[in-house]
Amino acid sequence: MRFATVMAGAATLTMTGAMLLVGAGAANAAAPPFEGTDPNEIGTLAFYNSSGTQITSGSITDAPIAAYTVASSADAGHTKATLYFYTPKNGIAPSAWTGEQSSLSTTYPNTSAPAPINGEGSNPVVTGAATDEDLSDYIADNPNTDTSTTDGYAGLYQVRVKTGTSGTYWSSDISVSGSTWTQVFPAVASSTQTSLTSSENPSTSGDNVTFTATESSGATHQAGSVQFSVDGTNSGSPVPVSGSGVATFATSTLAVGTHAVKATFTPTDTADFSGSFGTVSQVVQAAKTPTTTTLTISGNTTTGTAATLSGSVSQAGSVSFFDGSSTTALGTTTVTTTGGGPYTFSLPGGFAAGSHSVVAKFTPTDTADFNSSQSQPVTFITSTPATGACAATGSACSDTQTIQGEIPPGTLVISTPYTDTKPLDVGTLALSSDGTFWTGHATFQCITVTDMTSGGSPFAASAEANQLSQVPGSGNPSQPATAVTTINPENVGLSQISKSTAACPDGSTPVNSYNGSVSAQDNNAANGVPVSDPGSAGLGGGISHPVLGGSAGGEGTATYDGVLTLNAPTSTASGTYTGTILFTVSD
Amino acid sequence: MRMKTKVRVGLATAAAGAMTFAMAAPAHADYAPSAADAVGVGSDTVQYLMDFGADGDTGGDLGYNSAGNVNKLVSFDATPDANARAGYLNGSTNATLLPLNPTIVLRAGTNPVQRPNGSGAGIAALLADANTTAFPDGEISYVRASRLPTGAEETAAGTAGFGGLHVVKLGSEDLQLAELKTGSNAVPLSAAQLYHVYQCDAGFTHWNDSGIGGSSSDSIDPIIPQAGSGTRSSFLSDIETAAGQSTITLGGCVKTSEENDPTAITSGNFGPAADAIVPFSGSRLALYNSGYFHDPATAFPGGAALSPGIKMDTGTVLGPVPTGSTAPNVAYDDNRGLFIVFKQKDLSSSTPFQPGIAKNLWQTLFSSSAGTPYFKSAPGQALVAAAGATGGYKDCGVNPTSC
Repeated sequence: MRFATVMAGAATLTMTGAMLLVGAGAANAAAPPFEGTDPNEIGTLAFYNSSGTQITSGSITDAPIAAYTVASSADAGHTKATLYFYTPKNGIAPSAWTGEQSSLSTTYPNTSAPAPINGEGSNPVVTGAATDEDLSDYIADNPNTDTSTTDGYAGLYQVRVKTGTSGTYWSSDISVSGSTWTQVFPAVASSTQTSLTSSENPSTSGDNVTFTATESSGATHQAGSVQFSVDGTNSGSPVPVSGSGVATFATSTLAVGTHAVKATFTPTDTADFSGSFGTVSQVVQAAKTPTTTTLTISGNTTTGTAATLSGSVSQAGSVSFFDGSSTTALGTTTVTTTGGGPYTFSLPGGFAAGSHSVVAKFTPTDTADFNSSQSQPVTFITSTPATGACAATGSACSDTQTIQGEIPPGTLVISTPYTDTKPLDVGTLALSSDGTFWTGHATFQCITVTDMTSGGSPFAASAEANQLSQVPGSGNPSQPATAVTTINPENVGLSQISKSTAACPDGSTPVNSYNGSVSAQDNNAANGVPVSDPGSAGLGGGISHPVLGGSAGGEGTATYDGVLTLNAPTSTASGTYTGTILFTVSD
Repeated sequence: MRMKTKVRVGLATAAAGAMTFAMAAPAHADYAPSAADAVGVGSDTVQYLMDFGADGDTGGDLGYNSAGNVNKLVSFDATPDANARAGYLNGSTNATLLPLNPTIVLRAGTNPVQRPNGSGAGIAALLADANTTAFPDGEISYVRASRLPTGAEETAAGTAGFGGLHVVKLGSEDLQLAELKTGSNAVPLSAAQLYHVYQCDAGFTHWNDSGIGGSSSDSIDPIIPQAGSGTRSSFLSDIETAAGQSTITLGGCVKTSEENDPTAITSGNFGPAADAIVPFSGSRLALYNSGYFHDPATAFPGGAALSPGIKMDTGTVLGPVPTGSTAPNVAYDDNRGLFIVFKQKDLSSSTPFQPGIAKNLWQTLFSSSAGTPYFKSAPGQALVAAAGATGGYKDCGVNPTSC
């Protein structure tokens, strides 16, 4: 009969198995009187929640009583464990107590359980389920009716785990008060938790990797030391933890592959605190070979035409092109030749107008053995193509003579009728009466200021001329390289300003609806001062010269004409000269 | 806790000359249950559900008795063989079987009695189990059944003062027609066709007969489980109903075999294996296919896992719908419950099953309005499934007409 053979086998099993890593510490409280008398009890149990934290109490209506119940010693002869509840009875041997099966028979080791349960090897583990019988149901059927205050049985229940039909078991005793159960045997030391992190995971062979273990016990840290191990072999001596519970271990000698790194914390006060451990699966990868990428851009100096991006890479793979900080590739091309080679990529439509900083980023096909790389940034400028008269070579383009001043629409605007295609031409200059400089003038029509501002501030219009330059190709073909081909803007003047009466050059009728008074100020041109003159006569000197001023509260449009004078030193080379005048209005 | 008496057969014949010595020995070869143990008999089909429920399965799932409580759950198998085959006396031949009439000792200190083989036999034994001073709740605590009790049985239970018969469903299974796994001449047969096959009616005796639609000209060899079998009762009731009939008269072509024994087909002892058919438990075939049974021809520790050599008869029925048929023209398949039956009065017994607890054994194991009886619990239902059945506990109440 199987019942007869069980007893003999029990004693031989008592000392087998490994110590529980986390859990039972010194028994500081008195053990129930039946403990130590049961030959079938071959070890103890520890209870854990679903996060792997040991628990020592809970509600009797919890199903399961614990997410994991772990035996204190190994049983490699079985693969399933089952949890039971029993009711201690004074005067009856524990083997004859009545009990019930609470859980399904669950498979161990449970590798999907959190640490430390998953590190318990062949220690039996019962994995709880919601379908398990809870303590309240058990107690309803099997109450502990002992009311003695002295025999040590009152309120106690025993939790057992069995792995087979041998009759032996691991057990722990719990006390039930109200709706709460509390573990009373074995007494449980306060738990600690140890986490372990890696500074680089995965790492590259040869890299120095630092493993940091952090130990805590609730909100505090216990004194003690951490023994680091790699693949089960201790690495160095135990490292004392700092005041913040930290101990580190650095190594650069890990071989290529996956390594089980473990940090086992042993508290100084082993009587009151249990040890704990953390693990990291460290992946070490072989070092990769660097690659190179070059980039050259051609074509597409003006918008609307394709640009060609070319270069070479040192391995087969793909090359993607990025403009500036954009993370969207302009395009991608591939190099299939083993060992790499040249590539060419045409960017349809080319680049937009402006300056571009382009890089080529290379991703090797064999990412396991080669690193990615990227080219140096290449700056590339694309312009908008010239149009109209300015598109013709050698034309007397005066685009820059468009003169206007503008502030935000609807407030205060100044404009002139002269445009790129209709510049103000002062004609051919003539020698001054005293023969010391060239001079010429023309009526500057329809300087128009529209003041629609509120608040009554008077407008103030000013003008500033820039240096005039000889239009390329307009001078004498034999003109020496040292010829003076620029004119100081001090030689530009605007004077004799008066309200417009004649039609403007664009055919429009001048508007003079300004309801305030307007004052004008002459800025007479210098008499052919050289370019080197630092003064600010005329409209020169790099400053704005007042030309018109409104009155407080004035609103409406004022249109004025003036005489533009251009004088030039006699040293100036012949040819066509252009320049700009910037009108500004403010209030 | 499963009890066998196969060894006792050998003793009776080999030690015939030492009868005096054998009778003087007080101990039995098998465990004789105590007065407080839960003891069951009955169905062959349901026996492994209870065997596993009591003692666990081979996968490490522990059963009720693993708690080590003083009083045990005991389930006597239907036959004296752990592979659920019939036992026969020495001198039996294939042509001349000599039934063993195997016995069991229901309770320690009582005489051996005939081992109930089947649901009907088990219920009959329960109805005959009068209360005595020694056993105030009787000697049979429960009966395994693959069918519900009949009205006559329920009436008899009332007459006996049992308050009727209480039924609990442990789970369910499919009862189907089994045939040789490889090389069978059988074609899918509907329940209505089977009615005529088992009456050996003209047009239904050969595979290529007009009523069958097969191609082989071989004779059909229909096999029926032994009398007292719930499987037999369920099957005959099914095919009667399907054929629109109220009775069936088994024809001369029908052979009788111990139920759920695949060798009824594979041995060829009832005709060519390729032509044999028998209603067979789906849970039993699943248990066979799980590798639970091992070759009994090899001595301990046993031979390789047995392949049953049979399969269920499924697919599209080829023959025409028989005249009078009331059932769908599909291959025979009866999804049926697997039950526990006990005396209704026992449910209110004041005797605790275990020391220190409040519930009696029926409340502890089968039916309780408070808490969860063992066979309703997750561990109990897991073992029902491990035995090949589909779990699904239901308390059917007293004298149910359906469940």
